[in-house]
Amino acid sequence: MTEPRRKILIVDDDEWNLDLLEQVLGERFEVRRASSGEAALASLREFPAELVLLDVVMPGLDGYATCERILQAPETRRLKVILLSGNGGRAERLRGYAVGASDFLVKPFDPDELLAKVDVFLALKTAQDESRAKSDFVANLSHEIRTPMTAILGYSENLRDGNLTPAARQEAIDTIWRNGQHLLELVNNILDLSKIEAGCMTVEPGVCDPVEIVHEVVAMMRARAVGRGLALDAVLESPVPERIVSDRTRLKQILINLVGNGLKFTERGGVRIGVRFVDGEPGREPALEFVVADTGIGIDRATIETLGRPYVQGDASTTRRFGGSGLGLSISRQLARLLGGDLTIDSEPGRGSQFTVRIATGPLDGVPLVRSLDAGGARSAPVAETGAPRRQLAQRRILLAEDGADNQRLFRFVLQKAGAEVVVVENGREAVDCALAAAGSAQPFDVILMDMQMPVLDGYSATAELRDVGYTGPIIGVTAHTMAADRQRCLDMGCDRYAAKPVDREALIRTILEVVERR
Amino acid sequence: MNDAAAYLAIVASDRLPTPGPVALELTALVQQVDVDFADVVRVVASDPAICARALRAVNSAAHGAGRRVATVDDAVRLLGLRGIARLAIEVSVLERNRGGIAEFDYGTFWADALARAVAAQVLGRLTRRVPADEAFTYGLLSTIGRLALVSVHTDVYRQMLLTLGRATAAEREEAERAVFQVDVELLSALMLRSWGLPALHVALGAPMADGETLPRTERDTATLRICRAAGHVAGLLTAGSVSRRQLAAAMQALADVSVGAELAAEAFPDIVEGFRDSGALLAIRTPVVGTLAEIYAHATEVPAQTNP
Repeated sequence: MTEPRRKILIVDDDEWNLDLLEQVLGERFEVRRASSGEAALASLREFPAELVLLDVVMPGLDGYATCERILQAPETRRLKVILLSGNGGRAERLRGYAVGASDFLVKPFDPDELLAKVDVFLALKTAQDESRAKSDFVANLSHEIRTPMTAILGYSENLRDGNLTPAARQEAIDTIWRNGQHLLELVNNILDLSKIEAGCMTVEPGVCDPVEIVHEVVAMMRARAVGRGLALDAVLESPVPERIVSDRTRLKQILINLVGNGLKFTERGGVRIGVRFVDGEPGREPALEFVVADTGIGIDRATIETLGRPYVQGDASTTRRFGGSGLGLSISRQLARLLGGDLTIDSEPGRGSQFTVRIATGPLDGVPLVRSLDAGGARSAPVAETGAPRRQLAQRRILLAEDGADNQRLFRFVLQKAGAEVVVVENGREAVDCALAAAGSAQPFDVILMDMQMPVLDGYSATAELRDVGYTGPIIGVTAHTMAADRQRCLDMGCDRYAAKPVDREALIRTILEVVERR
Repeated sequence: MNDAAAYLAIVASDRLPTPGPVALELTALVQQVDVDFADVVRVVASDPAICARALRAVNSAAHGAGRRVATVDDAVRLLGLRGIARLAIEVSVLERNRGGIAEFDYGTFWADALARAVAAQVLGRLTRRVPADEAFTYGLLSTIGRLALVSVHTDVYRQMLLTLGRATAAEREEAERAVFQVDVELLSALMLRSWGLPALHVALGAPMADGETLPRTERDTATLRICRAAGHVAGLLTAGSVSRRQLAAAMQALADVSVGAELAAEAFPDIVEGFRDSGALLAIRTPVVGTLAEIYAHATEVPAQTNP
């Protein structure tokens, strides 16, 4: 997040004074003008100034009255007000302090002195705001800690009861685990933030695979997304380096935090991680950008400017509705900077949010580019558990005609794992007899997987024979031949579809479902 | 499931991964009653890779030799006859089987094997039921049966991998049992027995080829339990993300070898460090692993099975 310019309201009925003040302050601050006390109060309703430079002598509401009203209003009571007057006598100063002004500057003022005072009072306001935020944070944190602790102790007490039903016992165990995990995450965030604030947070750069990291984050967060009925996916927005030099653990921490926030603050739609390689920007090193976009509640501009500060989650109502300690974004931002980049936010209320993490890649000499998310990682490396196997073929009855013992076992394993009942035959003759017998019974086959190369009667002939006698059930030809002519022959003989060996199980299951559900 | 013929067909194959001739010669030598120490040293010295590994092992801080060891003679004395034979098997099996078919991820296989080895070593040290170095060897080679399946039944294994696509480790193990009719643990134990490392085979109670079963000792049983616990711990080190179910299984397996949650948390950093250092030593690429607390914090929920 880039540091926004701090906002100052200048109030004077003399346009020339306003011009002068704007000239002095305009380079470093965002300045708004008002020509009267009334205009100043109106302006503060939609301009979130942090400091007001207020002329004392004005028609209508003078500076004292305006200052008093500003500091009495709940929305503006924490502003700093510096009164400006041509009369700097003792009585005037005391009256100014009595209405709450922070300081009193006598005209004509020294521009450097004015800037110095503005800096001092803005720094003071920042320190007071952060102190207040920390107090609010601690108060919120107490709730964040006490709530899961209460659950843990309460359910632990329940577990002492030997008469719990198995379901109640499991619920207690699950609750204790879940709340313990939440506490652990909270403690880790607090410790991380403490390290960052003490300047002790370090990163350990090493060679890492950005595509693999994205896969791991998606796998890790998928169950949470599914649990909330949200989509979670990832996409390469450009070819990206196969490997970079960065801190894998910290990068993953940032992405997990951003995706977790996205899922937390989204009620419909989902979260997407986009990855793009940024190279060739003049004067800048190559970088990798991870864009975490959600379709959630969005963030207004004023809140964006406070995010990334520790202890601030946004407004209090958000905290109450969505929970959370407000540490994650601040930590993520600091980590992104340690990784040679930054974290920026683009958001609008009601239109979702987009968090962009930019990190340095390190040297990329000779590193190839990856063009697809599927290219990352070795094909046969085991994937993480993401859930119980989906039994897409539950209650389906499949006839497998295959003569190879190894293939019989492999196909049977895949199909049974997907929930199907599988009957295996070893040649085309047995396939025809078995299919026709089942068709005439109460348990016909939902689909036949017909290997095309079999002894006694091959798959082509078996399929043709079945169609000749009026068999209408779905038949999927399985062939090791990859020539288009062989595949077409499968269809010409009466197969509904074909699958080429080696058969991909997901593709096979999809094909089976398509032909079965079409009937 | 245990189809004896399936096991015999594999172990009789000339494509079975084996230790090199030097390691096999050493194994045979150290089993002799009147073995000549000089002969052992001579055989070790004939293989530079084994020599180098032996010297690195005795000079490592973990070994605590106290002084720099520079000769093969001293290295063999410090490691002991059985120790040098085990080390020779480790080195030669690893070096001869780093690659093969494109579809099988040898890097991940050896990273998992190394994680098992280091975890077993630490568990051996903690439980004091199995010497740490011996536990390391058993841990490293406890899944060597998988490489045997890849080497002996190459085409079928390749087809299995291509069919399964992206699969969990548990799914792959299920598929192996279904397709090849063997259990990798038992197959590995059979292979290790033929290399002079019989503990796992004895602990599993599997009969010899002649039907005889050897008496099982507490050390054999402890070796098997440590290897199984090490397998669970290895899953925490090498998986990109870990489920709660995996964590629970790992904690249960550690409890089976009398390593409670607190002791496991204390020992975990040693395992992570050993994994990283051994990976560097053996040129095995190891993933970066966080703390056990971080693994707990990021453990995923695994939804219950549902039907469509």
